[in-house]
Amino acid sequence: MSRYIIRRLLQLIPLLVGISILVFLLVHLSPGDPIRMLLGEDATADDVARLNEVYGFDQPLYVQYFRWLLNAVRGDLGVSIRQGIPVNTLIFERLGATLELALASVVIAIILGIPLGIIAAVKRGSIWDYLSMVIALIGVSTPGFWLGLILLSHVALKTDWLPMFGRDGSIFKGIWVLFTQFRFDELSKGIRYVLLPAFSIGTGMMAIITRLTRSSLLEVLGRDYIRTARAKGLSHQIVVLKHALRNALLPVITIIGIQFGAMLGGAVVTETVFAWPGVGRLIINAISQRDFPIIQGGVLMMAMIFTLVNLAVDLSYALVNPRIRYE
Amino acid sequence: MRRQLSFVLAVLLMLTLGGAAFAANDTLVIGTGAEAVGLEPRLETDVPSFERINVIMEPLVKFDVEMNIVPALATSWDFGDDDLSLSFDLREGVTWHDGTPFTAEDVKYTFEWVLDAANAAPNRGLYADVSEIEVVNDHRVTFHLGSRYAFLLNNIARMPITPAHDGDRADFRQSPIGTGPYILQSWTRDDRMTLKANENYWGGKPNVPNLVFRTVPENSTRLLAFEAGEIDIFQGGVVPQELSRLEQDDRFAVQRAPGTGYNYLGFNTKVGALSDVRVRQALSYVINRKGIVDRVLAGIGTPGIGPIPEALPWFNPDVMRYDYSPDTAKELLADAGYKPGDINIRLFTNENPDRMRIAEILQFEAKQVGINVDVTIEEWGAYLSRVQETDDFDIFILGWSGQLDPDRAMIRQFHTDGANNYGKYSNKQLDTLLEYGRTVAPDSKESFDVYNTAQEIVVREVPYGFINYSEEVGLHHKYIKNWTVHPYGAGAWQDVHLMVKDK
Amino acid sequence: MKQILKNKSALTGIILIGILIFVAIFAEKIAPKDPYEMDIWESYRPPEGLKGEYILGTDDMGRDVLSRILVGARISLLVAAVATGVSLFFGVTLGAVAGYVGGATDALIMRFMDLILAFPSILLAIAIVASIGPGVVNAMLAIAIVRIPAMVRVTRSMVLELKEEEFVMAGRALGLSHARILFRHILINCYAPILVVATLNMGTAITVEATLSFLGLGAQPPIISWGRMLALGREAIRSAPYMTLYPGLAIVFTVLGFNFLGDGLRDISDPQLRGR
Repeated sequence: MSRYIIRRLLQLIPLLVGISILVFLLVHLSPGDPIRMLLGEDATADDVARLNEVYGFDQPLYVQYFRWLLNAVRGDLGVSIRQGIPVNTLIFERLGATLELALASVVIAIILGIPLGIIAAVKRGSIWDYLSMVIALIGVSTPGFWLGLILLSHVALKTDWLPMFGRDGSIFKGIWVLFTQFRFDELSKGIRYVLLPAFSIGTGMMAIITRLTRSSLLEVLGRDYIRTARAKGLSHQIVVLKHALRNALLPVITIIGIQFGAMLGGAVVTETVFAWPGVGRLIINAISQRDFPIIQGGVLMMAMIFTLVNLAVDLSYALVNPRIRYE
Repeated sequence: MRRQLSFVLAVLLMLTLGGAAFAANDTLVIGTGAEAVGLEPRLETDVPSFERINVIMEPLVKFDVEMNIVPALATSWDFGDDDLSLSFDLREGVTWHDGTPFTAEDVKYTFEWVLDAANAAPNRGLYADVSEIEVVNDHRVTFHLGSRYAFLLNNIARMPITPAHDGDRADFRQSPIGTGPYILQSWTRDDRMTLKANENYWGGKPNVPNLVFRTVPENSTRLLAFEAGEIDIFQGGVVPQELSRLEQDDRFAVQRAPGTGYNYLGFNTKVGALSDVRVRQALSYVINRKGIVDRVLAGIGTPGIGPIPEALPWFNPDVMRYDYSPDTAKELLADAGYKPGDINIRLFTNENPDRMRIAEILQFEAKQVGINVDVTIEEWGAYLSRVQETDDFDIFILGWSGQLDPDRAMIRQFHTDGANNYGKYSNKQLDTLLEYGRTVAPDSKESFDVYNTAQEIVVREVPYGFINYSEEVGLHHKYIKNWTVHPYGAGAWQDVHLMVKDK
Repeated sequence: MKQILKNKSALTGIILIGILIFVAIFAEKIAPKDPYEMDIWESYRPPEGLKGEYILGTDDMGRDVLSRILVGARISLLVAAVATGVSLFFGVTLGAVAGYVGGATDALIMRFMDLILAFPSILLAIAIVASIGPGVVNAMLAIAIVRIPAMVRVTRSMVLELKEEEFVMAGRALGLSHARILFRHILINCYAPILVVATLNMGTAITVEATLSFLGLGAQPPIISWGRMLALGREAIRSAPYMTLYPGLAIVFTVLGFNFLGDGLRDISDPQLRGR
C-alpha cells in the first residue's frame, strides 16, 4: 500500500512537468502582452522595453521556462506582474474559499444525488424514477450563472436569512468553533454564505451522480452474485444496500473525484456571480490581464491539488472494491 | 431515533439563528464592480483602484461634482508670468495617518518618484513637461516646466500625494497611509476592504465611523445585494433595464450625471474601403445611436457626437451630425463607387455585454446598406493586443473614460504620432491644432477656438464613429444623505466624510 | 425497433429528440418571424401569447424570442452532438485500450488524461478558445477535449472490472482475438454507464457553451445559440425573465430528451433487465 502511494506520488512529477509545459506554452503563445497591460494606455515604448527586460520576457522561451520551473520547484511561484504581490500569497489567501466551495458542492451533490439515484433504481419504471430524473437533469441543463441569478432573485431576496454575495467566516472555522467553544453561530454563518453558490454548482454535479448511481445499481442488481445472494434469502433491502451499492458506487466515485477537480478552478462563473473570493476568479482576472505568473502558478497549484484528490479517490477504490489490487 | 430527530431539529433551529449581514448605522458599505489592483497612486491605472485610493489619500487639487478644479491639499495655486511654472500653497496643519505633518517635501517626493524613468510609472507621460520641482518652504512648492503645458493642473488633480517618510515601504501598495478622511484597516482581496474614520481629518471628522468596500463583479448580483440592504450605495454598473423600476421605488434614490467617457467604433483608416472617408461616414450614419441609448442602454447616456464629453466646457455641439440614416449611407457608398455586397469588414470587440450588443446591432444595420460585417468577440487580453500592437482589424469597439480635458481627450487618439492612434489616422492641420492647444491657457477664448475646430475636423473625417456618451448613475438607499454622484467614477467617494447614514 | 416502441423512456426520448431535429431542420420555415430582424423600438415586449405578434415576446434588440429559440436549436444541437460525439469516440477508444491492455500503454494514456483533467476544465476551454480564436467550431472542440478524460476514466474502470469476469476468461480460453474480446464482448457489456455519461454530456455541452458565451467566447453574432441567449439576457432576468426562461426551458427539454433516450436504450440492450 505505502509503496503504491509512493509510486503514485512519483508519477505526479512527470504530470506536473507536463502541466507546467502546457500552461507555460498556452500563456506565452497566446496573443497578449503583460507589460502593455501593466502600463496601460500611456505606455511609452522605452518603458515597455525596460520592463520586458526586468521581467525577463526578452529572453528565449526555454530560458524563461526553466527559470520559472526552477523557482517553482523551490516553492516560489513568482510575483504578480500587475499587483506586485507574491503569487503564493495570492493563491493561499483564496485557497480556503475555493476548497470550501468545492467541498460544499460535492457534499450537496452527494446528499441529493445518491438517494435520488437509489430511489430511481429501486423504483425503476415508476413515477419516482422519472421524477428523480427530471430533478437531476434540471441541474445539469441550467448554466450555473443563470441558476445562481434565479436563486438570488427568487430565494435569497425573499428571505433575510440568506446573504446575497461574498463570504464571511467559513465552515472550517465554524466547525472549529463548534468543537472548541460549543458555539454554533460561526458554522451557521459559514453555511449560509456557502449554501447558494454550492447549490448552484452542486446541482450540475448531482445529475451525473444520480444517473450513474441509478444505472450502475441497476446493472449490479442484475449480476449473478446478487441473484445468488437473493436466492440465499437475504432480505431485499440488505441486498441492495450492502452488496449492490458497494459495487455500484465504483464508477460514481470515479466521477466524484473528477468533478471535484473540475470545481477547483472551474467554478469561475459561479464565483463571479456570487462574488465568492476564490482562486478561479483570481486566475480568470489574471488571464484577462495576462498576469503570467498568476496564471502559471494558479493552474499548477490547482493541478497538484486535483491530482492529490484523485490519488485519494483511487485509493478509496480499493476500499469499495477489493478485487482491484494495487498493481 | 427520537434523539436523532431532536438533534436534527436543533441543528435546523440553530441554522436559522441570525440573519444576513445588514450593515449597522456605524458602517457605510460601498459596492464596487471590480477589485483594486493596488493602492499606490503612482502605479495604478484603473478606476476601481482610485475609487478607494481617493478616500485614503488626496491630491493637491481635485475635481468637484461639476468638474471644476477645487482646492484639496493645496489651498491656492498660481502660474508664473511665463506660464513655465506652477506653484501651490499647501494646506497647513494637515497630518498623515501616522501623525507626521504633511509638507512640500511629500509633494516633491511623489512627483519625482513618478518622473524617475527607473520606476516606470505608468502615468509618467502626464507630467513629462515638468523639469524640476522646487520646495520653496514647508507649505509652498513650485513645478518648473520645460515647455508650456496648459493642462498640467488637470493632471496634477489625478495624482494623490504619497508620504515621503513611508512611501518606499515594501508593502506600501497594500497598506498605504494618507491624509484622507479614512484610514485603511484591513483588506481581503476580491472580497472587502475595511477602513475607519480619521478623527483628525482636516476637513472635519467623518460622520460614519466605519467604511467598507465590497467587490461584487456581476451587475445583477450587486443590485440584488443593494436591494437586500447589504450594500448601502454604489456608482456605475447599474443594470439598465432595472433603472425605471428603481427610480420609482420609495426606498432608493437614483442620481445621474453626464459622464466623462464614451464608446466608439475605431476605424482602421489605412486599409481597404475604410481608407475612404465616405465609407467611414456611411458606417457612422447606420449607427442607430438613439435606439441604442434609449433601448439597449435603457436611457443611460446620450447619443455620441464627438471626442469631448458633454460635461466639459470645451464640448462643441455645432459639428456635423450623423443622425441614423441608411439612405444617406447608401448614397455615400454609391458615391464612393461601391455596390451592395462589395464591402466586407472584420469587426472585433471584447466580451463587454454592451459592446457585444453594439457589434450585433451594427452588423445588422450595415447589412441593410450592403456592407457585410464579420464580428469576432475576443478575450480581453488578446483583443487589446490586436488593437494596440497590430493593424490586423478593420473596426474595433472600445471606450474611453476619464476624458477630463480636451488635450487628453484628443492628442493621444488623433495626433499622427499619438500613442493611442490605433487606426493610424493622420491630418496635418489637426496635428498643428492639437500641439498648439496644449500651450494655450485653458480658460481663454483661444483655447475654445482651437478645440472647436479640432472637434469639427475629427467629426467630419470619422477616425472614430462615436456611439454614446457615458452617464454616471449612482444608487443609494434614502437613509444615506449628503452624497452627490460624480461625473468621474474615480472621484465618487472623495467627499465620503460628509456622508450621513441614518437608518 | 419493437422494443424501442415498447420502452416508455426510449419512446419519450425519441419523440422529444425527433421534435428537436424537426425544429432544427425546418426552423426557418416554422419560425413566425425572421429571427435576425432587429427593430430596436420593439425591444422588451413581453410574451403576447399565441394570438399576439410576438408569441414569446422580443429580446433587447426587438427580435422575436420564439423564432430565435427555434433557429437556436440548430447550433445547440450541433454543439451537443459534435462535442459529445468527438469525446465519445476518443474517450471510449482510449479508455478501452487503457483498461484492457494495461501496463505502460495504460499508464501513458492515463497520465495524458490526467494532464487534461488536472487543468481546470473551464480554464482549459477558455485557454483553448483564447489561443485558437472564438467561434462555434472551436468551442465544440474545446468542450470535446475537456470531456474526453471523464469518458476515458469511466470506460477504463468498467473494462478493468469486466476483464476479470468469467466470460472474458472463457473467450480467451476459446482463443478469441483481443480486439474481438474487447470490442465484441467487453464494451458491449459496459456501455451502460458510458451511455449515461454521454447523454449527460449532451446537456453539459450545451451549458458549457452557455458559460463560454457568458465570457463572450461561444457562438459569435449573428449565430444564435441558446447559450448566448441566456448569457446576454441574464441582466434582464428580473425585468424581462422571458428572455432567458424560454431558452432555458429549451435546454431542459433537450437534455431530458437525450437522457430518456439514453436510459431507454440501456434498458433495452441489457438482457438481464429485460424481463424484470
